[in-house]
Amino acid sequence: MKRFLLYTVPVLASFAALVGAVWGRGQAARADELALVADEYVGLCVDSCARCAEELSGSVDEMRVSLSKLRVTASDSGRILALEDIVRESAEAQAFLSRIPGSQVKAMELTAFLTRAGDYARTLSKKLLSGGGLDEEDIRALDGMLSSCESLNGLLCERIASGSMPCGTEEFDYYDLPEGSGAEDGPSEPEYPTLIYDGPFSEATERLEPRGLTGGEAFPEEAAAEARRLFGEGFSYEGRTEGKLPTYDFSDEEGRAYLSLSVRGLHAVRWMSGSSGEKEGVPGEAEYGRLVSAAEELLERLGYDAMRPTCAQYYGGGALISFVREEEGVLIYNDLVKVTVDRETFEPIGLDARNYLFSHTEREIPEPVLTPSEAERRASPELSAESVGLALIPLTPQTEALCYELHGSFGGSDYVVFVNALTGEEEQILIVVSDGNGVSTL
Amino acid sequence: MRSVKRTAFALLLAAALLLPLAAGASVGYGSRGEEVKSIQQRLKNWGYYSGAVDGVFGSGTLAAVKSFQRKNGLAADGIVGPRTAAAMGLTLSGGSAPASAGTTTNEVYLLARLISGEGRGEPYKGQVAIGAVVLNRVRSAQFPNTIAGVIYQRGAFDAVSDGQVNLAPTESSVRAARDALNGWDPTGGCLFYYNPATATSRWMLSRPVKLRIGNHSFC
Repeated sequence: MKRFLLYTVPVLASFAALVGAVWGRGQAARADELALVADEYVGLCVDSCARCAEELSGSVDEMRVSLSKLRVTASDSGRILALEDIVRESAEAQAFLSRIPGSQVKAMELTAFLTRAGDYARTLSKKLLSGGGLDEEDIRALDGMLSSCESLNGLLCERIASGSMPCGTEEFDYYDLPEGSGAEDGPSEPEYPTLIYDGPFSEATERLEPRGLTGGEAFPEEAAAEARRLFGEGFSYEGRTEGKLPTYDFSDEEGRAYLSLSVRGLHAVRWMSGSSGEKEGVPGEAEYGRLVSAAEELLERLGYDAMRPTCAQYYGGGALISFVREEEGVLIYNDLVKVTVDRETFEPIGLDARNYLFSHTEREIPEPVLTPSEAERRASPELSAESVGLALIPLTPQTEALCYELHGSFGGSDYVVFVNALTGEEEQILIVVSDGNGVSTL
Repeated sequence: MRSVKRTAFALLLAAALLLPLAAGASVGYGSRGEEVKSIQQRLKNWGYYSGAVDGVFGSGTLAAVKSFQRKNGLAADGIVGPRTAAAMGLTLSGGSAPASAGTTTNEVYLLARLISGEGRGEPYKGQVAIGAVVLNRVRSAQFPNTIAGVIYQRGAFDAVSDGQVNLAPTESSVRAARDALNGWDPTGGCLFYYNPATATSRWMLSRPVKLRIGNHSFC
């Protein structure tokens, strides 16, 4: 036995040491491989960030060039081309900026400038296309944009040259200014001009106030009483939410139902409760009729009269039906209220009147200049119009236009074309999409 | 592409972001083909399935689908119908979904994944609020103008940094994403939120809080 151990133990130990050495060598090689992969990956990230910084600088410089040309272009067609170039270049600059891993706080200012520069250029382009000209205010704004682009490009070039652009290897809080990034050193970021215009991203749009609120400011106790009157018992007061449309908020004990009433006037802004079933798919005509009737009863009870259903979505056991106001035979698309109806019980389970409360006001709807058949002739001859009606549609966040709404088809797809009822201009084209969950537009 | 626009049409257009799966289509035991491969690949990525991605819906795939369904609060019948497919972020063929539906469904699914990663354990209203913050950023000039651009902005969301955004979303987060896309904003226009118990950013903590929902302060 002793002799057996004398020979066996050293052999086994040697074998184990050999296996361990081979395994260790393999692991070391694997670690080297992983280190190489990691180095390569970091290199790719750094290269990608460097490329984005260069491209951002290039796009801002192209914006500068387009703005310079725009200032000395005499023809409207030349101006429109330059403005469309600015739209494209600002979008490119935004895309490259979003890929640079810098402080979000710093990026917010620059992103806002780039976004609004493109938005403003598109607004001016449309203005020229509709026969308007550039006024003094526009020229001042364009000069301000040009000056900002010049300063900004200088700053970007300097940061790239000094290697102080973020490259993704730094560790910092993205919501604070990164130390050592160069953000605190050298020339400061340029002053960006305030662009006064009517576009989706303009400051004026951000300041829009709800026009549909009536009545004075109420107390929470009054809101609680109104919540009980409109939607029954069971809601407890949660608190007040500020914003452009301040609300008193309520919820039920289970956290399944929520209700928000406007602080001013106690209008129902949002109500949401759970559906009882999971029914999916588009309903038949009879079921759709019952769903719309249930929604209309709720709208009437809440004081939203003359509302017409336009389209619906079906998900989560509910039917979400969009209603718009109709005045003098004209559909007003900005005055939108959505109602959700439970597909099992046909009881309303949700309401969203925020858009209506923001936009509804007394309007003077003009008389159409064009006849329906004239509007049809203004639309593409490719489109075989099946129905024509009048609608007030939003052209910009602050303006509306009276249009003929033409429903037609072409090449197997359904379209809605809006032709301005006063000027004959084609204002908007939507593609109608029907699927297992209802009808929507693109 | 600026996927979310501001006009009232956007609210009608927003409905287009909700294009769901074609009704009636389903994949189950014995099915074969590319759809089965897609299902297997996703289940494998998420750790539910360890077999071959061969496009054959066998017993291994069946068990994995059931496990996925149980974990995500779905009826564990082993059949990938519209609801299960939606939870997986897939569009099944056999219906009338248009070519563009894939893209828009992806946006719902991406938003749902972020809500799921950021808002696990939060009340439903808090989940919708997370989606609303993303959409408020999309509409703001100060942030990228697409849902993907906002979600993947470096350092913007912990769920992206720690990879939770890549996990399958919960059923409630898919519904919360749809409600947010349909216009429900419980925050009244907030652009930021944070968990006061874990947040360290001086800048974030210095912002006035508008409201609190669950564990999050919105500002």
